[in-house]
Amino acid sequence: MTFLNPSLLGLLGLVLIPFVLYFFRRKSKRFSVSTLVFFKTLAREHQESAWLRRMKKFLSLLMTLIILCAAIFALSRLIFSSGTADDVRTVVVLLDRSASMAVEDENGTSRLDAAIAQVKDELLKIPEDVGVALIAYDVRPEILQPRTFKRRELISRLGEVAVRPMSGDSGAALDAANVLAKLETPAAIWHLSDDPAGSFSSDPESESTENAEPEVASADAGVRVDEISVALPNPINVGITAFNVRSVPLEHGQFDAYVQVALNDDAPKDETVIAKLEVIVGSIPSQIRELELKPGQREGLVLKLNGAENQMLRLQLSSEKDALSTDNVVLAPLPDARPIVAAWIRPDPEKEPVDPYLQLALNSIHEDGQLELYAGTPDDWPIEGVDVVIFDRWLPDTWPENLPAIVLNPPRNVGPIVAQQLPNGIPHDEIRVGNEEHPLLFRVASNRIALTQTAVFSVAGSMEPIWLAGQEPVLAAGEVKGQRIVMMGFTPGQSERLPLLASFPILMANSLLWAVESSPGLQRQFREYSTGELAEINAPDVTWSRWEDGRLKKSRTKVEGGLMELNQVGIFETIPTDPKTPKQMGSAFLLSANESNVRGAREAGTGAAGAELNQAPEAEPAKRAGWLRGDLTWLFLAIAVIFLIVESYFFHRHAVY
Amino acid sequence: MPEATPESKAAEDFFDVEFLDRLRALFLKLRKRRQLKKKGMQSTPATGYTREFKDFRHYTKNDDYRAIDWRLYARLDRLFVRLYEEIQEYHIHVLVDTSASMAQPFAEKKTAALKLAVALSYLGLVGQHRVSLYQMADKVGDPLPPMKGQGNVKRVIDFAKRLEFGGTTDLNACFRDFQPSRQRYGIVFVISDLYGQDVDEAQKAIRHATSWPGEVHFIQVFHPWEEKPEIDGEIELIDVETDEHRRLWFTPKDLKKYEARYQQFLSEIDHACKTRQIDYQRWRTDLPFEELFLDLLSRGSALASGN
Repeated sequence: MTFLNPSLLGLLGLVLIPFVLYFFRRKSKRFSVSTLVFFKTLAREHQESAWLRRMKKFLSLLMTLIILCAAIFALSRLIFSSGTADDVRTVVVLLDRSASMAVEDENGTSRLDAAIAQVKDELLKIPEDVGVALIAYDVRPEILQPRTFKRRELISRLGEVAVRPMSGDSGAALDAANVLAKLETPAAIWHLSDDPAGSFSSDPESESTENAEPEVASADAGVRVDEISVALPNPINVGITAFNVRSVPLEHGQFDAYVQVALNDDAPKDETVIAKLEVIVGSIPSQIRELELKPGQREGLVLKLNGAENQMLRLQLSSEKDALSTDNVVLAPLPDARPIVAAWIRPDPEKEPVDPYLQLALNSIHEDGQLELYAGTPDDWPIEGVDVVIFDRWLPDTWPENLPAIVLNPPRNVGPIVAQQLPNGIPHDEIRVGNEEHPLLFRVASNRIALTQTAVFSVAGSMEPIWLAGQEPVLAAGEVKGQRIVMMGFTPGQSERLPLLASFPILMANSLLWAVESSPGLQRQFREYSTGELAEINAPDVTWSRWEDGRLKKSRTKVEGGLMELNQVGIFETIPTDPKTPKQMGSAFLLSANESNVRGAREAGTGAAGAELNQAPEAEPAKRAGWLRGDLTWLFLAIAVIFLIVESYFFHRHAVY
Repeated sequence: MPEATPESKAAEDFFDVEFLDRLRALFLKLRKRRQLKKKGMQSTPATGYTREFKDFRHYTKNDDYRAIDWRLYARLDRLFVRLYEEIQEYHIHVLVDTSASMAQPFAEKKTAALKLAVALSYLGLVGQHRVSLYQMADKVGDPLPPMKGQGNVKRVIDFAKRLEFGGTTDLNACFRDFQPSRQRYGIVFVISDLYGQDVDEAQKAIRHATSWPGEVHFIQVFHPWEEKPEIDGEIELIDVETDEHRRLWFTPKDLKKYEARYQQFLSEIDHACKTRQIDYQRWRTDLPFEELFLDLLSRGSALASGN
């Protein structure tokens, strides 16, 4: 129970007036008359017993007091709030503005608009002397309004809040809200979101919220978190939740794109949603895929694409009744990989001849334009500025720990390499495949391989045997302390069929690509970001390209301080002032499983119109009658009017008594 | 507007010398008016034993032989008796309502009633009539024994002074029980406000007056406040006779209703009297006493025409 205008309670002193009038009321004029017979004929004549008259006077006083009190309570705006503002000194409005808040209902009202309307409504029910603050959050929280008593300022700030195409992380926001709330306790945090329960597990990877401990439970003493859901009952949303594109090794103009499409969990359970994925490469439709999705289902697709490097790739997802459009578009240029820079360190050719088949394989990769090969002798080691090093029958005394390495016929033990050469070699007619799915064996026909083993090595640790000749590994790969290493224990020149097959050059190319796969900045100058991230920008201006309203729109944005928050879905490109400075390009995707998994209302009737305040369990006050909550000004006005009418009817209709 | 308890000044000395002088002057004025009116009028055919000669007639058996005119017998040789004017002696009954309503809250009513009773008695005594004074409330009280002669005026005044006003009014019982003597021609004056326990009690009671011998005069005394009360708003009314309390919210509309009802009450009494050939006069206490008194006597009262 709270008075929104408690200062008007001073008017309760007016109740003294009826009391004074009651106890010191003016007596009625008394007249002695010769006879009453003529007065008795008047219709308004009343004759009552003294006790009845006293009771009527008392009732009249009581009704007057009720009328007065009801009117004062109405003016003071007595509210039986639903626990939102009972006895709190601070209210922190925590507003979700992540991408999923753009979901609109049938009236075109977004969840954010519904939440703002709800906040405005609730603000009217809290007293003027309660401080309010506003925090909006997406990936990170932003304090839009510090604690203030001025409702107008807060409402003005609310009007500036807009949905941002980012994922939402309410954890940090709740921490910030807690800090603000603790400025003056007791306090309440109104958390308005379409997925309040999801706030307990903001990590997209940890989807299960069923067993998650409510974060509100860790709220500080005196701070209560009220969850207000503005979710729609059964939204349907299909969205792209994962995307990657890479060029196919050794194949020009070929790209592999991985796309994951998901339907939200809370879609109607009996409904199968058909989603259509259009693949447009350079404004030319390339493919159309139709997917049948059930609620909660995720479908991964590998798309084979043909196109030129830097050509624009657009994935457009569509489905009927789709709630959110932000996650339906992916815009990215096809990757433009630069050649791999590799150093080939082998014994001096004048002392030990070079394996011609190895040289042939490397030359073929080099000629394809995907490899810049620097051949050298052990005297040239160490070599700077290379992406990968190929140690051919030689190992340095000090193992290079930060450089991917391909080791051919290692002669001794150095670093993670534990090996010994076999000078005479052991021919094998066939080999066994340890891991057929390994990227090194991509398009390599292992069943026709016959080779001569020229080295043995240990595959302890994280090294994985890929080819086995007899019981010994002849090809192994793995990561040691973050360093990718490929080891080969055979010599193509001494093998019978291996040099004649295309598998060896492919194997070498795969090894090079796999070894450098995780090297930063190698494959492309283009970077992919999630919206909400901060990108380091080396230019004052950035051009954004984004797909809107069926066409590509471009806009220019100033960058200050060298950091740019990626607050839109699209491609950005820097406009350097110095022509020598290379351009930066990047792509910002939403790609958030949490945001695409648009939540439905947990309880029936808690949609946009029926958004209700859900108390945190430990802070839930006693439930009140449904109608006896909120602003009861109307109720007190009704009481005042009804009692006024009743009193007028009974006591002023005819005679006073 | 009168006071809440409008006890007007009750002048106990209203039978002072000044009043008696005014009464004598009134009597002379009345006689002068009566003499003027008497011209051209036929004298009464009745004969009596006064000294005023009226006529002769033949002597018949059983006539008083002392009335024989011997001189005329000597001249005409026939017996004639002399006839003299008849002198009638009336019995005047004056009933004064002594209920509480006649004294409270307007003492003017009591004063007017007593003045009127004394004036009528004085007139009767001066006219050599028998005069009886009664008080009535719930019943007719013991009367002052019949008096005759001007010398009894003081007794009448003393009796009037001793009258005590109080109690309730029972007009029906009073008029029913009042049976004046039929030995003499009677003139009955009823001085009352005619307020009973019911609105139509008076007009019902008036029917008993038809059995009274002689002429009957009803003189209704009322205060102008009773005809047009000046009250408004929240009031408490107390009946002075029954001590009954009534609480009212009195509006101008109610006031008009009351006035209409009161006038209807007066008209009903007037009508009841007229239909029974009873004289009825309203006596509003704010009007001059002499005018009302002369008007009363000029309405054909035997008291006014006698003597």
